[in-house]
Amino acid sequence: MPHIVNHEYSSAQKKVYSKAKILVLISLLYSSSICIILFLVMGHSQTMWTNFVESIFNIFPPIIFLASNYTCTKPHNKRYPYGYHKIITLAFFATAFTLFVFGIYLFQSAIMVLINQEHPTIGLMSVAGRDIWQGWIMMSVMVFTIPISMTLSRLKEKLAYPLNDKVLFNNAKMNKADWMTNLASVAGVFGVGYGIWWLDAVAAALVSLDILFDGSSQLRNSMNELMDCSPKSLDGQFLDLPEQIKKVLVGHKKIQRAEVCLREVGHVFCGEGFITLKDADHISIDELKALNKEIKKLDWRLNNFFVILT
Amino acid sequence: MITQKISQILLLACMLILTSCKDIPCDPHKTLENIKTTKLLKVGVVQDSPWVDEIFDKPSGREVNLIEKFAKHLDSNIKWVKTAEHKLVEQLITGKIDLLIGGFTSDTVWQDRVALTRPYFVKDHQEHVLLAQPGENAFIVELEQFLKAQAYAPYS
Repeated sequence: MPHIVNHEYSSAQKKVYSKAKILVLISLLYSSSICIILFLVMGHSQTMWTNFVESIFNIFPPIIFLASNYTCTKPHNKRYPYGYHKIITLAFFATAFTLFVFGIYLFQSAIMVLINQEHPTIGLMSVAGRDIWQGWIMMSVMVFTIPISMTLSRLKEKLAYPLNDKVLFNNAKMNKADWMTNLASVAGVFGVGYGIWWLDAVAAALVSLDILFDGSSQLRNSMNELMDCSPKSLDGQFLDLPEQIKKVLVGHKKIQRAEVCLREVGHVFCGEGFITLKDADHISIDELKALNKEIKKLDWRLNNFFVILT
Repeated sequence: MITQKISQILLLACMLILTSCKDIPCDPHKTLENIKTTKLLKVGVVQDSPWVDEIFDKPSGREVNLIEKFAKHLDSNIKWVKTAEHKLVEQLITGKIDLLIGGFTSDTVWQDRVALTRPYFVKDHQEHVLLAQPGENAFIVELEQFLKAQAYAPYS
């Protein structure tokens, strides 16, 4: 029996994962096509340029999800004796960083528009030989995308919990940022249409603050994970799993004292339980095995847990 | 919670806008309205033959002819403004003049500071445009509509 177990997901979770994979593939196709559409209707407008940049940013998280999930299930080998689980943590950091940088970029561009008092110019555009104010085209493209991004965000968030996948969770956040920006852009273009030139930038600034806030908390979480912080849920709450394990260990009749260390490695948890036996007591290997089995039942994510006698 | 608040604010903003104005798009500085009430179109001219010739007191040239027609379309007179190009751009941004002509193309160095109309004439990959005050969208749309109706006018 290998010492390092390669198991990542149970069969029920594998079903959820294949659903997630399809969802992410759809959103990848969707983001790419939106990118092209926005490029076509963008014109000289600053608002739409921001939106276009955002849509490019939106292509990365799905790619990161697919690539990292492909890699993390690879079996461990001599070169990577601990397997590839940690690639998920790294990918989580990458997507969080994307979200964070994206927030900063949007915020600074909105503030610069306000400082420079740039009045956005939106003129006419020819569609099938007819002249339409380009603002209408922009608004209809964005209104069209809002429900799609919203649905993608909700579905991804729902699938992220059973998989404990932070990359997917960030994907959902990114989609949320996407539809919020689009909603703000609709309000902004409307504002421009009615001669209120600053409304666009103010709406964009508000939304970018929200994105920035999300991004920084995710970035902090991912950095904590890289620092082997105690496991947290997707929402960033500390789990009481170490306490539960400690209770099981101390509950054993032969164990006097126990300490538990846990850390997150991608989707799964790794850790050790250090135990001190009562005076002059012996613990058999079978008893230790049973103990370990009982602990692993507590959470599917307890991938590699070792009980160490001190 | 922040998401909800922002959505509420945006919705409120949309409602406010919907009730505040009638035509889309509008001019923040009411350029089009002012031209119609004062019956005066202020146009900056930069020498660039054959588009604008200002050898004589009254400028002439293809773009000058075009703007004269546009002024007639708006039922207003034209005040020609002649000075250095960078000063004209400054005046255009602050709204002291409504329009700037002089053989400008879509790759003009001023493209980030002023509003360009759609190219009204293309020859040898040179897209000819007129410059307007940024964000005066009603005026720009009016001008662009006029320019389209006048297709090939520069050669007539």
